[in-house]
Amino acid sequence: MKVVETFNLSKTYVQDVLGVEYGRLKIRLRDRQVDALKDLTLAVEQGEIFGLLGPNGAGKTTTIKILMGIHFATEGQARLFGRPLGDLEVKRRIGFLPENPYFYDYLKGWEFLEFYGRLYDMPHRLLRTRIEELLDLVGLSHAANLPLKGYSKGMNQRIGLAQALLNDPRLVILDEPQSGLDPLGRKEVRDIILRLRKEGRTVLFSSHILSDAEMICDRVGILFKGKLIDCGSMSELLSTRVLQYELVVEGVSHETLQAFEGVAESVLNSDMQTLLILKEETDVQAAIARTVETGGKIVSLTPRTETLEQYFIRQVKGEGK
Amino acid sequence: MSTTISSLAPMETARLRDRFVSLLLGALLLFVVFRPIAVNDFKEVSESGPPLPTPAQFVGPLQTPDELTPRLSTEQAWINAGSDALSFVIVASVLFSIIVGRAGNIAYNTFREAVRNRILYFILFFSLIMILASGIVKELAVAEHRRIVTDLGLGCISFFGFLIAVFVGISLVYNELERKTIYTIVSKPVHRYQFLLGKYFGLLLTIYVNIAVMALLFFIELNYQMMNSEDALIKFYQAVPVGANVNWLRFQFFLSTAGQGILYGFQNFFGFASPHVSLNLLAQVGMICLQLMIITAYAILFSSFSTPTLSAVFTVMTYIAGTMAEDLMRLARSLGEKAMETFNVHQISDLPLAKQATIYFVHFVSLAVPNLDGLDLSSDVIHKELITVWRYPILYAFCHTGMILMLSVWIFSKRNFK
Repeated sequence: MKVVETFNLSKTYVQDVLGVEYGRLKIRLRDRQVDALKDLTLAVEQGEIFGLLGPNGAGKTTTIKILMGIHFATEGQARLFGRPLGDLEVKRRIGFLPENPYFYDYLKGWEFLEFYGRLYDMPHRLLRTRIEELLDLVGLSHAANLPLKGYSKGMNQRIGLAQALLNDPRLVILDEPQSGLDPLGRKEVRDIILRLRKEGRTVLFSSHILSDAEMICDRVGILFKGKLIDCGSMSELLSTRVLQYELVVEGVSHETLQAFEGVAESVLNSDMQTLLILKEETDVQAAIARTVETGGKIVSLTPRTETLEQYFIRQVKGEGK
Repeated sequence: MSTTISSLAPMETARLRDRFVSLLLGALLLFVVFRPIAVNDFKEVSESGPPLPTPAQFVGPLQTPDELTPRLSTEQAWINAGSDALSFVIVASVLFSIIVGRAGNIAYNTFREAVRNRILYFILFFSLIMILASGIVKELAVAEHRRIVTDLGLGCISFFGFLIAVFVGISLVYNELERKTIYTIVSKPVHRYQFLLGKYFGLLLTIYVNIAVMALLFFIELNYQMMNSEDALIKFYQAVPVGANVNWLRFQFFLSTAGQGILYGFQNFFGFASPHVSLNLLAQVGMICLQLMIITAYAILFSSFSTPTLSAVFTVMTYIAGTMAEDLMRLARSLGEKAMETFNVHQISDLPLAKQATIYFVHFVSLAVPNLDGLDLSSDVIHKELITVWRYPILYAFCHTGMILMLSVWIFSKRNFK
């Protein structure tokens, strides 16, 4: 089942006389326009972690805002759980964490979650146990009675995650969940996302930190300047072709090394060991044979495949041309 | 990290229960709103009402309150529509917010936000100082002390209530957008109109609680000042026997007047007349509540699409125009009469088009602005013994508010958030 579907979603921002964007009100002066999103068509399947990736200003947040009903699309449609946007029953099944969240700073952590839980009509007793569980999950049990005013950026992100999970959502939408967190915090967010998938939930998140996304995403969509460049699973996107081999050898003579220099991409010498970077598999075979013949020792051989980052740079450069 | 996520199955029953509760409260609300009308429709209400007891002559410092408390019967008190207005405006706003469902939570949160806002306390503090100061200001006047205390007190309640509507109100919606707290609210199962209505009712609740505090202090102050009138003081000093401990008696006099002031203040606040203070004042407080109900709706309307500064300007202008609504209406009429005289015609439609346009424009403006003038009883409060508030202005206030709220909901539900 498709949890999120969009069809030709487009968004054009127009600045108005009063400096406000009115959306569907269409009182517009067409002099300052920005096309934030062009013809986005994608689908997120149930139970997967879908990453919406792209540089800043690519349209990731705009997509999420349209899905959450914060902005209205200029053209195109979107569906959540097969229903049109804005359906309250759908909203009951969704959890959402915005980018750089900021909440009512005059509330205490517990009051804040209680207020949001009430918006879901949650019975009091259930809400109580649920808030305790979630505060425990995000590691904020100690700060439940502190006002949000005193929360650090990381704590804000955590309480934001807690409010997104209040209603036991089937779909969790996270906008840049890892931005502004330290490495430990990023790992914890990653663990929580993986855990959500394990519990059968669908996760849609946006990120520009590619290495984090690479580790956890089932499928990714790559956005650049408002367009979807590519969409698919990690194995589909990244070529499995080996880009280069890294061979480390030990105890080879000077002459042999000179012979290697003709074949290898580069040769790096440290005191005992030598790192050879080779392009072709036949070259690797030959180099190994040569090393063994001359009495050297093979320390390690590592084939390097494409990373998401390399893929991304390749794609973006291709778009730029 | 190893806790389990509990099931949400009981949510369905909770929703059913909430629906039942809101139906019950709705029925209660209907009863509260229509009961006073029913009472009034079946009773002959004379224009002046039953005469108030004459202010008791204060002869000595040690009178018990009971001797001084000829009250209106409860039935008569109920007939006064002004006290009804106050009671059912407060009850209705609270109940409405519950009936609108989740908007009730948002209203409560808005109230909590306002109550934890420092600016509210500054406004309240200054209003209380002003009300107390009316006792000093009255000394400057030659006569009609009672009138000065009343005018100042009621003016304070109206003005500071308006200040709260403007200063707290206009930033409420804007802050949500600016700080992006609306993002997570919108992702919850809440309609945008529920959010906006929640903000409105929360703000209204804040204003009414403040008005209640101010009104209570006003009634206490007014009663105390009436007890301490110069006549009473002169009589007190005449009554002091030779050789008595004047300081002790003076202290007793102060205690008894202050105590009676507080007692009568509370009585007035809950809709009973006291020897010095008629229910008219309570009717005027109810009318101030209705005026602020309209102005708050305007504050919400303007802040649903523009910045706080602009909304403040718009709201203040609307308020000023509203207090002049009937003057504008008179202006349109006199413009028409004068023009017809000059051009020697008998109908406005015979006038030159430019003249007609001016007259109709002024007339249109006078009808379009909220008629706060018509909701103001302050000129009658002193002179008439018991004023009757007609249902029409109350109905007008509710309809106008409803219209403005509908407009703001329409704008708000179609706009993008920043």
